[in-house]
Amino acid sequence: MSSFKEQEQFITLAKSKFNSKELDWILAKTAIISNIETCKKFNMLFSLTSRFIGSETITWSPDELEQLEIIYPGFSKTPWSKQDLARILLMLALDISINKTIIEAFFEIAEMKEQVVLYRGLYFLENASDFSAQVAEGIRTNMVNVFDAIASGNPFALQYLDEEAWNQLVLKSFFMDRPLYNVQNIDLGKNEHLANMLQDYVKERWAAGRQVSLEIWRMVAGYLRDDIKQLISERSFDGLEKEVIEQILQQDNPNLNSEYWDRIGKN
Amino acid sequence: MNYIDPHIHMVSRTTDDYENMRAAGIVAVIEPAFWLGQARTSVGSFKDYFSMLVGWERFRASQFGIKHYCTIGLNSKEANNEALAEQVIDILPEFLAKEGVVAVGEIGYDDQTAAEDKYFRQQLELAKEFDLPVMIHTPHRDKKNGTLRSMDVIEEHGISPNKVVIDHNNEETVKWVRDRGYWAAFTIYPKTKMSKMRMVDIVKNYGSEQIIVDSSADWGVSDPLSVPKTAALMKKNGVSDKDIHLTCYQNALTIYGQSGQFNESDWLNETTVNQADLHEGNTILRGQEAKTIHFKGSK
Repeated sequence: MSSFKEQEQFITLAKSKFNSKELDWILAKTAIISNIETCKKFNMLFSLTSRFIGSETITWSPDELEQLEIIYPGFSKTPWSKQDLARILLMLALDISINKTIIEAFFEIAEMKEQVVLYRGLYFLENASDFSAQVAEGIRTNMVNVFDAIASGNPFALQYLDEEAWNQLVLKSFFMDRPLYNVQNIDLGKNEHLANMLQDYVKERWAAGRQVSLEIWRMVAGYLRDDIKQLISERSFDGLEKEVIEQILQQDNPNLNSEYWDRIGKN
Repeated sequence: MNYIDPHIHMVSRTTDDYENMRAAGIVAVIEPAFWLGQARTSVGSFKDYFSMLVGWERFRASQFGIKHYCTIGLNSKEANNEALAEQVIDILPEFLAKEGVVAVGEIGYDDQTAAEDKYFRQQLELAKEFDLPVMIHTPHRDKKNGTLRSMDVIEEHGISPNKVVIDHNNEETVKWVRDRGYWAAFTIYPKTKMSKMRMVDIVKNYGSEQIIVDSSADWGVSDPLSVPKTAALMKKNGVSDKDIHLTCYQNALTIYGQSGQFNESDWLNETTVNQADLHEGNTILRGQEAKTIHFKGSK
């Protein structure tokens, strides 16, 4: 959740990125949406944004990015377009007493790109935590870009999802071959239950003669079970996998920090 | 050569179809909203169907390097359930506003009942409101009158024929349709409607102006490769590359491009589809070997 002050800061930064014609459109439409009487226009205006606002990716100054990272940890990990910002401004214009009803109903009819922006925008809302069930549902998607909108550079999941939903997000990242290092605050989301599910997954894959992502060990390190240690001792590894396995076999290994795992993930 | 299939119901097609279509040169498809082979009984079914056209199907196509667009509308068959039709009309605007929705369609007449007429007219008004082209389905039965009546009603509503595609033409209807300034589309079916060879003859007789080839492939006997196959047959029979390009690509782009939602740059820029982006368990790859496919838009 962004505080009121942070929200204002974001709105000011966002507005500075539009030309005057676009800004006029946004101001006129946010006025309609912020009025309880006419807020039902949200769906239509959210969709029509693509006809009135450019789709180019925004460039931010280092100073702006620094502010945005405080407001929305992970913001700088993924690109944002003008349309994305305009749509988030529309979300922020909804009165907090009705934004849950309206946004959740809109999720049911949102097209692919709209779903992406909705999931990325939720964290900015004052009542972001009200949307945790929606985000848990979003993890069930099979549209990769929609999944990435939740998983990648988005602080919502770790902050508001319960452990069960969070663990599904991490598990599903592996099933969808999505990089883990882009999941915001991934290392803070380690837990024993997750590590156990992942080790079961490793066993299943190895039994089938298949490989696992090296990033799995990021979530397993510290919870390595004896049965997995036994399997490891029976297998041979080479290259980077050999290096990673050797590292995780060491107790309380200080080398296994976030920077190490980010490097493995990007490899 | 690149092709567009401007009328195909991909929700009924397999991933093999997508692969073959892309291999045959199809770069973009338009999926018109239609009925599902049997009537729906509640508005929620329509809502989920429209959502699927702009969501999951759009994603599925993208995984094979094909850009997916759609048209949104209440088809004429289901317009006959008036209680339901009223509710469907109410939800159309929110879908017509979406990116990648290139027309109102496919709408028109089936049995030419009063109810069909009522909702046809309401949707023509929506096309005006959203400044979108219209895709017209012409009836199988009483085709001649159905086609003429559709054009009369469109003109009555003040819509320019240049923004309208009349689909499922034959040797007879094409004359009237073109003479009145409409775009004439032809559905190439293996057994019914129009055959590939008859289509070649039509292009030979009428040239390529305002003429569009499509497959209308769906859950019935139909062929998702109708457009490239017809193009190949045209070539074999001496039709010029220019006429093939117009009828199997450019004309569709010109008419539906008027929506502002159908841009060649969407697919002409290099596209890389990383199939490893697919979810192994539930999406389309299911344990197949992941491939990275590079498509360089060629023209």
